[in-house]
Amino acid sequence: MSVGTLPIDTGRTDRDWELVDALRRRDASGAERLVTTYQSRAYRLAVGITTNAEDAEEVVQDAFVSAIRKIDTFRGQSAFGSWFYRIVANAALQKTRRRRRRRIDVALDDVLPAFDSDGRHAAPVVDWSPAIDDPARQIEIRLALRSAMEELPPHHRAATIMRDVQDWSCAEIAEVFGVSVGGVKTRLHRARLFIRKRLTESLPGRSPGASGGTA
Amino acid sequence: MTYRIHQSVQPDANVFVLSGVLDTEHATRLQELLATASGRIVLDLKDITLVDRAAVRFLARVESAGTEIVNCPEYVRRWIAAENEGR
Repeated sequence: MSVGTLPIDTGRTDRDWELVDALRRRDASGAERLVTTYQSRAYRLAVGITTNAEDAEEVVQDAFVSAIRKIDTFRGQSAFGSWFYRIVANAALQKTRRRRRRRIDVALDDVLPAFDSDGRHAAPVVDWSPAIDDPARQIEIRLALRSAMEELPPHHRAATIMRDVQDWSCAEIAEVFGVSVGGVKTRLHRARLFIRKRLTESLPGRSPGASGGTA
Repeated sequence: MTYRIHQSVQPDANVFVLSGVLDTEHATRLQELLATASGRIVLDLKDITLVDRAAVRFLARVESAGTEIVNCPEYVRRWIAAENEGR
């Protein structure tokens, strides 16, 4: 190994090592295998971040092309899947940023619920949870939830989709975004508080019997 | 990454065998070659390693115009179909 050259992990411990090997050899089957293996989950990740099917399709196609072009920069320091999903997530976030230039961004701190010094909600909490089981109100709930998700900053929305909808672990999410597990948990917590507040505003519920819950 | 176009004129068709990466730049070059070809035109994608989004649009367009695409990787076929649906 020459000085200044990063060691390349052969990747044989990675479940995708055969795929990586095919891509590095420019094997004509490599792209097909990559797409077959990752298309579905990559699309769900992209659509979760962009909230737009057309944008997500473009993001995923571009991510595949980018991954194949840059395969020689994959050093095997993380799982290939994490490396690839990072490309997808970054492309989706970039696409979202371009879209958001035309929108008014919501500062999360301005719309999170307020807490008192004991960590309890400063304002009464409306219990809208009985509405969840009411079939007549499920469309209303879905629309309110979608609207709240779209208002979240992209990184928070992405973490929430990945954890609460797609069942990624916090560690997997942390690896994709290059942040700590604690950082992911913080994003999730803030996102959930925000969504709860938006649902409370959108869905009339029962008056609280006991005002305030703990944060 | 390399890209090659091998053209063979057969009794019933002009066949273009493509290999390597088909991207915007190469699609433009291929478009020029197709413009000079006459009769039945066939694009053989069996040795294609990668197709970018612009090239997918190009393939969808030439196929709609009558060019035959053979040995098309499944994922490229799906992307062409998605491109056609999006029009």
